[in-house]
This record gives sequence, C-alpha cells and structure tokens, in this order.
Amino acid sequence: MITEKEILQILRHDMHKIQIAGAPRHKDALLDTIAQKADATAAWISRNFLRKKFEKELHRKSLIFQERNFKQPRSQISQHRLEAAKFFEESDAKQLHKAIVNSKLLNLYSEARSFPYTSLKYHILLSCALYYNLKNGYQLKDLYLCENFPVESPFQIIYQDEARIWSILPQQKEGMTKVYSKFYTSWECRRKLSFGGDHKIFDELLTTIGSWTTALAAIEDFFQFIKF
Amino acid sequence: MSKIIRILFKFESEYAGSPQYISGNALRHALSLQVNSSIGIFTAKGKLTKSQSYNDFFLLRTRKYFLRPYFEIWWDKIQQKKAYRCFFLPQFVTFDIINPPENFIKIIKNIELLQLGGMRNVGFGIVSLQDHIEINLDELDYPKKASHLTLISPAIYLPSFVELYDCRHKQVEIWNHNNVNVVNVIAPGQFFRIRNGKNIQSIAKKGILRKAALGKLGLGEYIVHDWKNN
Repeated sequence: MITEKEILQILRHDMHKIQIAGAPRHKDALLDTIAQKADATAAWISRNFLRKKFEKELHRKSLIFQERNFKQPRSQISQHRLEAAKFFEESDAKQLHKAIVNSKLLNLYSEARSFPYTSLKYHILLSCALYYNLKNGYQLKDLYLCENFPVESPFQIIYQDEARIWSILPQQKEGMTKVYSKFYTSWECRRKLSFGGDHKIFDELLTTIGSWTTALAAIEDFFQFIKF
Repeated sequence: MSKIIRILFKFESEYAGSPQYISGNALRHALSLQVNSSIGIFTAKGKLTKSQSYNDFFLLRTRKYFLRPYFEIWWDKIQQKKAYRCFFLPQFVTFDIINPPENFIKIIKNIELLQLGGMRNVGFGIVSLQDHIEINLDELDYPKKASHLTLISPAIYLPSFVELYDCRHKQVEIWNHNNVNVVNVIAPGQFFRIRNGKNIQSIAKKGILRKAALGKLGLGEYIVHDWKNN
C-alpha cells in the first residue's frame, strides 16, 4: 500500500532545482530505495539525447521556441513564481499532482545541467508514475503508454492537454505503445495515430527524439505554438 | 549479380519536408531519371566507407540523426489566415541505387541544380554530390539465423513470411507529373516476427533489393535481426 507521505516525497524530490526555500536537499530528498530506483529509471530514459557542456543555470531550452534559448527566461519564471509556494503548502497528494500537471513554472527548468533540453516537470511526473507501478510490482518492461484510458490512480498520468491524457499503465496490451528506453522506439511502434494528419512534420520529428522528457516538453510547446 | 551504388549529397541550403527521410521518388524527379532508388537517410558523416558485413551495410541507414526544427508563423495570403511552417538544416543525405545506368555519377555531376524536399521554388533543398561508393551485394555475408525484421522504409503490403498482427498505417503522398497520389502504407520503424522454417539468407537479400510493391521508389526496405537466439 502506498502512503500519501511517500507520494508527496517523490513529487517534491527535485524541488531544490527551482531554488525555493524549504525544498529538501538533494541527499535528503529520497531515502526509500524503490523511490531512488524510480528516479534513476526516469533519469535514464531521458538523459540520452542532445548532451551539452555543463551549464550553471537549469533553464530549459526549447526545440520549438528557438528564440527562448538565447535570452534567459527570467521574466517568464517571475510570472509563474507564485506557483512555487503551492508546492509546499499543499498536503493532499492528488491536488499537488494536479498542480504539477498544470504547472508552467516547472516546465521552464531542465532536469540536468548537461542536458538542457530535458524538462523538470515531466521528470517528476515520470518518476511518480514509475514509482507507483514499481510499488505494485511492475518493472519498466511491463509498462505501456496509454491514451485516454481509464486509470487506476491519477499518479499514473504523465501528460495532459485538452484532447489527450497519457498515462503509464501495467500490462495494458491494448494501449498505444510499450514503454522503451528510447522515446522514438515507443513512438514508432505505437498502434494509434495520436496526432499526425494535420501536423505530419511534427509527428515525424518525434521519431528522431530519444529522450522522454524532451519529447513530452516538445509536444506541450508545439500545441502552445500553434495556438498563436 | 546486383550492384549498388551508394551516393552522399551535401546540403547547400535549408531543407523543408519530412525530417525522417526523403522519398526515392524525390530523387527520381530531381534527376529526371527512372532509377531504382532507396529512401534518403540523413546523416552527419561526410564520407562513405566500404561495408564488410550485413550489419555494416545498414550501419548508416539505421542510425537516428536528429534534425533541429525551425518553426515560424507567417500570413498565408491565399487562404487569408495565419499558418506555420517548419524547416531544417541537415548536413548530408545518403541514397542507395540498385543497378544504376552507365555513367551515373557523370550524369549527376552534369546537372546544374539538384533540389530535394519542399519549397524548391524559393531555393530550399539544394544539394551537391559529396561522395559515392560501389557495393557488390554478392560479397556481403548474409545472416543465417533471424527472428524479426524491422521496416526501414514504409511498405504497402507485409511480406508473406512474417506473422501478421496489429500495425500502424499512415498515408504518404507520391508525386507523379503534377498529380499527387495518396497511398496507404505501413509506417516504418515497426518490427514483425518471421515465421519458422524460412530461408533467412534470401529474405535478407530481398530486404536490400526491395522486392516489394513500389520498391523502385524506395518502399519495402527492411533489416533482419536475431533477437530470439541471442
């Protein structure tokens, strides 16, 4: 049985990266070995693509908004800064998970200093989903990415927008695709065309992106871009 | 005896189109020659090397090369609405041509302007020949054991020697003398299990020679793997 405290711990384990007071330090953030394994797996499936030299700031670079990469996103970060307080005031795990899914602030930060295209938001959501499944006895090889599928728990959701909810569920062979270590393998082997028709070029671009968090952040950026 | 000539083009300008591959039909129209061409795979390597084995042959064609996208918004005057477009800055692209005509390299060098991809009327997709190499298919050592095959290019029909299960289809546009034909194909990148008791060597050779529907445009190319016995 997973307690609320454990979920809150995994949802807050990387908050020290957005530099707010009260965030647990890196070495104290995760003490549970299963949680450490889930965090390491989530990092492993996203730190495999576009490695750059070590950077001081953890600001995420975007594949879609190229201009954002040249100037520091400080003004955008200060716009959404108020969200940060919510992450520590909230004591209900489901509400906190919902706040992270809708968060704009966390998506402005990258997950690792050498991988500026990865996203902190999707790293947290992926590690939470992997932790939930690991606790129930399912390894990475048993997991499937499903679109608009009824979920057992909201902690399995990794991506949400107006048209689709993506979740990671165990042994759902009718899901969209299996979870592989490279995102493009999963994307190429998917059975359902989630989007493609109108956005054919973007759909084919995803078949060349290896990192999970980079791809999920690129999808969010792309749908924001075409709304202009 | 089949001979393959592998050619490498260098991009001189931006490219608009699919970041996954360039169709063989695009090269046929650019050259104005009815050659048996494979799909074009993007790469960062500026030189071609001789392939000693079956896996060497596919080393360049199976490696993923990421093209950084450049998205921009513009005003479409004809449709009277905002639209977006996207272009890429690739380095090189490689094609395999089966049994090319005589003096094939000379013909390519004599063509003044070679363009691939979309927006060619505004100067996109200009390429020039960088390197070429000849490969004798009889000298390759084909695998004797295999369990799966992976589609490198789209295919219209699945071959009879694989087990059929759910797969993803997509539509590709094939341009033919000012007409666009939309063809329903099986999307590349998916893998299928090979049925037991088949001659793997001939299957592997078929995959390189693209003995499939619309094989001359690059469709029906695959690589075989031995995943079960390893």
